[in-house]
Amino acid sequence: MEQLQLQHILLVAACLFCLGLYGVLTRRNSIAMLMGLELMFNAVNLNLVAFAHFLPHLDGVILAMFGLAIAAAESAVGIAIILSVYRNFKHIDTENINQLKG
Amino acid sequence: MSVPTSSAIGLLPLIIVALTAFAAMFLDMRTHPNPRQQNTCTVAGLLAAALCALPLLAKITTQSGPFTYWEGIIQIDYMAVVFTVLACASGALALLFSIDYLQSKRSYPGEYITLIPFVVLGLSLACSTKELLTFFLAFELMSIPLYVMAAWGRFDIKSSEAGFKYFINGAVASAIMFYGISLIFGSVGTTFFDKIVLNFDLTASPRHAFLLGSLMFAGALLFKIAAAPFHFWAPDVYEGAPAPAGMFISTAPKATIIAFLLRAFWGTLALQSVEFRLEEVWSITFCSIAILSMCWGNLVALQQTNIKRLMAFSGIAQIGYTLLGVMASSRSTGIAALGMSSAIFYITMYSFANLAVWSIITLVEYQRHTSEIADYRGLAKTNPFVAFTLLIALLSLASAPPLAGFIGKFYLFRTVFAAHSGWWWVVLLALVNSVISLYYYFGVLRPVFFEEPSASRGRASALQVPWSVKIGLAVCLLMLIAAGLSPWLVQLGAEAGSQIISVAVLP
Repeated sequence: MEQLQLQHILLVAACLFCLGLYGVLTRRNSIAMLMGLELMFNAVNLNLVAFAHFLPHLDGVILAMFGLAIAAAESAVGIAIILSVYRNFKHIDTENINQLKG
Repeated sequence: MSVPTSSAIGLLPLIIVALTAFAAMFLDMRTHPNPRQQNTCTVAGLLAAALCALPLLAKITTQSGPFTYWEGIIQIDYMAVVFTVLACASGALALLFSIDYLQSKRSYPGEYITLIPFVVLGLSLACSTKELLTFFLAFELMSIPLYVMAAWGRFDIKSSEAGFKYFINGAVASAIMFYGISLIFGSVGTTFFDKIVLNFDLTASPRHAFLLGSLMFAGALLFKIAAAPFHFWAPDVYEGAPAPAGMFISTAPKATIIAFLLRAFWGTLALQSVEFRLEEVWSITFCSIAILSMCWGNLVALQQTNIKRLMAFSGIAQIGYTLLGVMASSRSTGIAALGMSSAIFYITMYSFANLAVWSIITLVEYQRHTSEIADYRGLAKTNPFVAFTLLIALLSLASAPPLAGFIGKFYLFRTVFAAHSGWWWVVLLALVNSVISLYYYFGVLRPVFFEEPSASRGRASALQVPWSVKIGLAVCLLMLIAAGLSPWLVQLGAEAGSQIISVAVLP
């Protein structure tokens, strides 16, 4: 059986990243958009861990750990902002968050 | 590698900014917080950091070299000092301009005052680093508080929407930047600038992964400075966000990211080898983005009736001019130091002019509850000083001699022309764009100077201008007039550029 290679993991990570981006661009629910964002950040982490395993460089793991922390901070602030949107609009449907033209 | 104790002085400005940020947070956590006192303490802290940074300029001369800590994670050189001072100064000015606005609203003033020093810390780190992970952390340290600042008006439906839009767009840009960093790391095995250059030459690096990685990285940076075609968030965010937040989003972060672009795309991410000529790729990329930003920003600005949206499009156009300087500072032109100095001078002067205009937008927004240009009519009759400042700042943005904006643009265009005589058509296009921009800047000045104050809804009465705003406006005016008359800042910028070039590792 063929060995698992670096490019296989990179391909999975790239697919996850694109799925996440697709989710952010197409979902109407703000929370689902946030999930797409998380998927994008985690795809990057997968990338970094794969590099760390195959190159081999421990730096990749460190980068991934910082990535986790950043993603957590992003989503914490994101949820707070979505909460404030909900208080003002009484919904979180992005199609109808359109007070500003553009 | 340890830091010799004698040279730890280079880190002092960063440490003071960090301490100020935490002090501001703790002052806000008392049982009976006093926003005005917290504001004064934060301004004092930021000014102290700027004052500690300035003497460093004498210590990091071209002979002695910059302070380098932890193998280049932090490098305090001219560029770092100039932009740390700029970040601290814009933070302090933004706080002076906005305290009265903040206290007049139902939302909580302490949040805004606490977030500013954290953004300034992120900015000072971002312009001092030569390592990608540190830059990413600094970038997030500045972005995340900015999302919160845009959504600061909790009871304002437009502010929530602006914060939400800024957050979603900004977070996608961050994820793309992080993916780019992972590709760069994967292809050269390091995130340190100097080692990237060395490793790239030593190993048979996967070159297209490196190129894709740096393109994604650059895309996220260009998004943050709102260069076309990554500008779509800017008008909505600037219009919806509270005026103090718009003021800060549109000045210091843009300047710092231009500084980092200069640092990263001279030598490091613009590698040159026989079969792989990245420098040409970046020249074409920056050139097309600069042209697109100038044309799009100026043409759309012509149709705006809201001054915040107008400033958003004007900012897009100004970033276009600055990117011309970034383009001229590529290595192949041979005058990279001049290119860097013109970009540094231009973006610094843009920041001060923008701060002045936005402070007036802030005043009008909380006292007259409007940001339509038509409602500015008669300002010259009721508030001559405010109208005069608006005149100087807008004329500087429109580059009328002898103000700083004129010198900056003259210097910028001359450098682009000298860099490559084949770029004469780019300079011509930029000149045409400057003429177009005169039209909409005068569109703001016409109601201010040539129309009577409108009697309706109490708009004939004079604006209350607090002393803190007067001091801040005077500082901005002094910068715009003095920098136009004396070339010291241009020289400083040239020093910064040549120092980056002299310490960079070349392939």
